[in-house]
Amino acid sequence: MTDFPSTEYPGPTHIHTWGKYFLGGVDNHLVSGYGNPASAAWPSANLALYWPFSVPFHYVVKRLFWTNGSAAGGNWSIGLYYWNGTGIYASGSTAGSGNSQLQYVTPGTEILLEPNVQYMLGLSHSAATANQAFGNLVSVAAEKQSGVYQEASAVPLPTDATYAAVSNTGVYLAGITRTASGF
Amino acid sequence: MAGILGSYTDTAIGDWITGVSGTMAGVAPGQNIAYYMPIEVTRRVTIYQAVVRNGATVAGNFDVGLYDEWLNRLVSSGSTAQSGTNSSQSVNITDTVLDRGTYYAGFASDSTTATYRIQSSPGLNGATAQACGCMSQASAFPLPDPAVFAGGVPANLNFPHVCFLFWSTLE
Repeated sequence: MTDFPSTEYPGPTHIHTWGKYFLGGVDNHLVSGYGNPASAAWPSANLALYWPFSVPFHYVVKRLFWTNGSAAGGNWSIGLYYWNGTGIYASGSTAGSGNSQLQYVTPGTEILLEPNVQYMLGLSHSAATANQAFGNLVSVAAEKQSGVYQEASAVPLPTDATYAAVSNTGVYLAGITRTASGF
Repeated sequence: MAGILGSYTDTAIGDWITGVSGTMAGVAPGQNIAYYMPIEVTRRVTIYQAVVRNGATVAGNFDVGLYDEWLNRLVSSGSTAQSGTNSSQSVNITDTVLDRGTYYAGFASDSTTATYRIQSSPGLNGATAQACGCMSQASAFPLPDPAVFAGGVPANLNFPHVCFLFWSTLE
């Protein structure tokens, strides 16, 4: 342990898929260019989507979250992976609950993310039912340009990811937080 | 050097809100509702002035302040009469040094009719606001110390445009 207290910036409380740390920092432009976020169906039953991100600071992940649409339901799984697909954490299958609410899962141990490492946030859902998810219909081309991948039959998410070329639209609102409660 | 920490810049909820095609308009934020918007500070700065943007209807008082990550109020203007339609209103605050970290800009008005410049963002709901780390609190004028986050998504979404002027020196 250092003899000096750290003054490193701990990062924001929430880091999410539409924010500047995701998708190469360009997704704000993608979101603005492809319509307004709204409740929507997940693209395909049991599909996983993986969105890339990196942070310029150490970041302690205490919880992960996704956003339920206006008619929450089905089952979700959320996880973190390295760029090569090696798994860091994957939640079990979790029933969607709370219309238009963020829903959090808490890993058994906190996860320390290193600065300037490319990670992937994975999110999968069991059903393509209207309004169970909340997202933005970014085009497939834009997603490919931003390093988004997908995987079939992935509820719950696998220990290690097998990335496939993305063919479904959507950047859904999900993310990580260093808060243990309060939100 | 000098600069601005703002609730709608890329250091704060602008991280998302300015990314969608919203419009800025004068909106009544609601009486005695406190809004808390996270701001990232990546280097030591000293804030010395707070700024709000008034709409076309001026009435009552506002309170603007800054909280640390643990929701302790560091500085605030105290109850201040709103003045000047469709203009920015600056309030001197006690010089306050901020180290790197996450802070919350706080704002509340005691008027039912006063309007402030607020971004109307398509898709903004309680969930998206919470994903940006934002929160609201009822019965909170003047700004309380500490702030209280009750959990769940914010009940109110009229997050106003608030900023702080700062100066800093090389570290």
